[in-house]
Amino acid sequence: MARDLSQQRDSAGSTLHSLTRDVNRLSSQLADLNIDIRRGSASGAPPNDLIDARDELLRELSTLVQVTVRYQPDNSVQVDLGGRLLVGSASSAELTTEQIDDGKLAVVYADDRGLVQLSGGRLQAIAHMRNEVLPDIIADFDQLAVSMMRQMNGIHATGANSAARPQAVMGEMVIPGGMLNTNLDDPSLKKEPGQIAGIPAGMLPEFVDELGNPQSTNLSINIMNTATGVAEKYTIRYEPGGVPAASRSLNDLISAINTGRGGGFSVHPPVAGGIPHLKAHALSVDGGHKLSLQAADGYAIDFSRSLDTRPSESVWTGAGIDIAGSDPDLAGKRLHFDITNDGRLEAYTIHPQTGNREVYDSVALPSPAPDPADPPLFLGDLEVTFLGAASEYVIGQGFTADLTNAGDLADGDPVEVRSNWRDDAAGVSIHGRYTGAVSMIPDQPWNMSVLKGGTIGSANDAPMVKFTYNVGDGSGGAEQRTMVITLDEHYPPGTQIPIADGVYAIFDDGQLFEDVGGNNNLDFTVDGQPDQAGLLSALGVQSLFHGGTAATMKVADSVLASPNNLLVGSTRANGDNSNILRMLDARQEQLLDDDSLNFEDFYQDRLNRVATQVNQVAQQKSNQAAVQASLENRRDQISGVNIDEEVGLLIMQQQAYQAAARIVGIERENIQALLGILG
Amino acid sequence: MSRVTSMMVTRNVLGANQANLNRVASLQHQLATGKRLAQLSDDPISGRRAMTFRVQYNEMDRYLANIDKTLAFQQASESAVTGMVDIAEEAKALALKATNGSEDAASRSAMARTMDGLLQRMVDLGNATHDGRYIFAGTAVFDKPFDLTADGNGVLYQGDQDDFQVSISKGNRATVNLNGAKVFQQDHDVFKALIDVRNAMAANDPEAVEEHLAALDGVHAHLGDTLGALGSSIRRVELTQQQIEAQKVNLSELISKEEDVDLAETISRLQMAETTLEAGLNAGARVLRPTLLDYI
Repeated sequence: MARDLSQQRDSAGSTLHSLTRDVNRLSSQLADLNIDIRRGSASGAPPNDLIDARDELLRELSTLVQVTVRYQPDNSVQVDLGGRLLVGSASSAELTTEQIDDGKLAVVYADDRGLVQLSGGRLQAIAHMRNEVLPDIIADFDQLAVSMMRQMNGIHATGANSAARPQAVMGEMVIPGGMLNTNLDDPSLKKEPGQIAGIPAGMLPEFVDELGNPQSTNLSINIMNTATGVAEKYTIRYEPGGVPAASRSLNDLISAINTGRGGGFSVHPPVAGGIPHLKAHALSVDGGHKLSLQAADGYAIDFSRSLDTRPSESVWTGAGIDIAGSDPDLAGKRLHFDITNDGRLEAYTIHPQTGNREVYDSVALPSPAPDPADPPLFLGDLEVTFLGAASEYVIGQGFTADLTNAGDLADGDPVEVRSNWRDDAAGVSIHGRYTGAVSMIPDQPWNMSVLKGGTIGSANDAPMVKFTYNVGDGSGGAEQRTMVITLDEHYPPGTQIPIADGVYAIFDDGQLFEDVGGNNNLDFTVDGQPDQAGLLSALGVQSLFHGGTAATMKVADSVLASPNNLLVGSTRANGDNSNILRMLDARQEQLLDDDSLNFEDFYQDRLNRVATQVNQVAQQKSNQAAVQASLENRRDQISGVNIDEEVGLLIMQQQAYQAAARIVGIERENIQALLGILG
Repeated sequence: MSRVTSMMVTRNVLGANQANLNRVASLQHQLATGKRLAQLSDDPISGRRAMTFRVQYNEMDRYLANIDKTLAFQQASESAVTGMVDIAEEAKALALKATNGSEDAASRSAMARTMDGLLQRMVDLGNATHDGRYIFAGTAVFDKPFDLTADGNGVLYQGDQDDFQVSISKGNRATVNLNGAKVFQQDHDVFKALIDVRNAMAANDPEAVEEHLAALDGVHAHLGDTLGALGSSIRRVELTQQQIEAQKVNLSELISKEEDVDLAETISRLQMAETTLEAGLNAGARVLRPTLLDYI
């Protein structure tokens, strides 16, 4: 339908052009007639045929444009159009059509490109159609299309599906070349009609709240090991910081995924190396760059609310750590520390675009286990101290530290050692479909801690665990609540233990140890709003619809190719249809016309407007036709011919002629008689 | 008195004729198509109402399709649970027999084997399928939910805790499935009751059988309740189905009122318009023809 409207607009444009040519033809004919009439009048009687022909041309011209006609004393006419001379006594001005800004087609004078003020006549009607009426309707439908796409794409992108396990995901939207460091919500990224690059206005991501104040937003990514089915959830969190708000460009996003930090984005939980098993980069395409996410072999990506997290697997189990010092070279970066094979502590950063490790410094560890008596370790300009006694350094484990823009460590206890779990403790995994709306809050994670140790599922040595969770309505902060449960014989290993809002935990066989000195507690991420800023729909990641306008909108090729690519659920369970239900709910949401109309109402409303306009115009047309008829009647009253009248006058003339002829006959007889007398 | 010229007369006659013809043509079109509105602009207000009703009408069809699927699924659940109620009854009868002092070890051990058979059937019913999907597995519909452990002393649930819903009418979502863990294991563990009685029978221990009989009773009652609840849920969905079908009839009437032509009224209007047309043509012919020339 949008294409039909576009075609109509184009055909209105060509009609405008051909009518302009008609005006040119008429005005040049008038100019020629003017010359002939002046010549004719100069030599005697006014050339009535030519004047009649000229009047006919003037009548035709006035149906096309409203003109002012001035009769000259020498019987020629001067025709004014919008204040300027169109037809003079010997020549006429030529008009043509030209594209001006905003895609409008205007009628201009050919010599100086001056705009013609059209008022009345067919030209103005067609121009109005072409420049105002049709583009308004097209814009309305584009608005409907973009709003629908933004909503549906956002919901679809955060869904999941048991069959679709993409290893690589690419955004469909092209960020214009040279704008990799432009903030993603900057209006200069807007896609203009006809361009390939850019994000359609209305689909730009939003990093502000309803009042326009910058707010923090989350984007969750799940990385699933396709062999074991275990997934880890990471959240890329944007913090505006101070004023001006922190940078949020495509490069920042890519850097955050690869290294853990980029602009205002940072990854939680802060593991070494950005999001593991995942690399991002800006793929060069025609016109700019697309976001490309590539998981390592054997891993799949999704952005859903699924919660298969094994939080106990990747944590630092060693002693507490204190880092002091500052290094301006590390400003704004995330520094990773690893215990290497050969007993060294190595500090490194990851290059934002290539994902390569860049070693900062490394130092040999004095002994296999940390000892408070050991001197602090120096790495570059930083000083690392291990606190307290704990088990030995474990090869392969690591921790991270985020540095401020000045190159210092953030504040207080610099290292985010979020979880502590003993190697020999029983594993726990988190499952379910989170039905709440609370987003991930970094200082308020969901947590499980062991209050009393024991063997899981045993009757007389049952452990007691406490779950801390968040409830709220999703706007801003959330209330923390706790739940304590004793894992006795009613809860053997493998039982599903509900926590809250559809989230449940499953414990493996084994023992749990009491949380002494923070030694047995786990933070895990539960996020009810996987894409708060609308980044996924803005970048075209896992979208259901592609295209930027009503005319170009289509279902994504991947979904058309296989229905398995339609992300119907919120989790990867086979029977989960909740994402489709969310899309159905979105139908009812009032997002258009200042949040007063939903999609169907908007469509019907606009359709109705057009119908009412057509109805009104049809009525006006018949009114105008009646007015025109009565005007023509008035004109004919004065100048029209009544046959009876003419015939009557003709008969009178005939009789007068006959009478005169009679008199001539009588005179002739008189003169003949006189001549007879004389001769 | 104003002057009247031939052009004026002609123009008036032709103009009126056109208007009459237009009216006749549009009435004819309405009769031929049976629809009052050829385009939305013919009557925007009426047309808008008709559009709204049409959209709702189409929605009704979709809801009915969803209801059919839901009913089929729930009826399959119902027959599985009915089977379970029967098994529980058989188990109770058997257990009662086992508490009878006149039975001996051999007969009790035979009963234990029968009981084991009943347990297997119960687990099979728990794993019932409909249309290729497991009914009681939550949303993990392709994974078998109930599994007997190797030692035969426990039944593990491997489905998940989620339910799936279906839109059955405007703003109304029905939860389609029964979650196996909640219904068969949480308050009254159906399988455990059977296992306990079987083990007591195999151990030739009538007191133990008597103890576990109470649990078996509870299970039987619980399954009966579940069946009842399922039945009333199915009834509610059927009621919704009836309501929607009634709404469909209603809506098609409303649509017809807005869109369709009233034959009697339109035909009589057409006749009037035709008469007007004829009169206009007749009068026009009379006025156009005569001029003074005819009389000279």
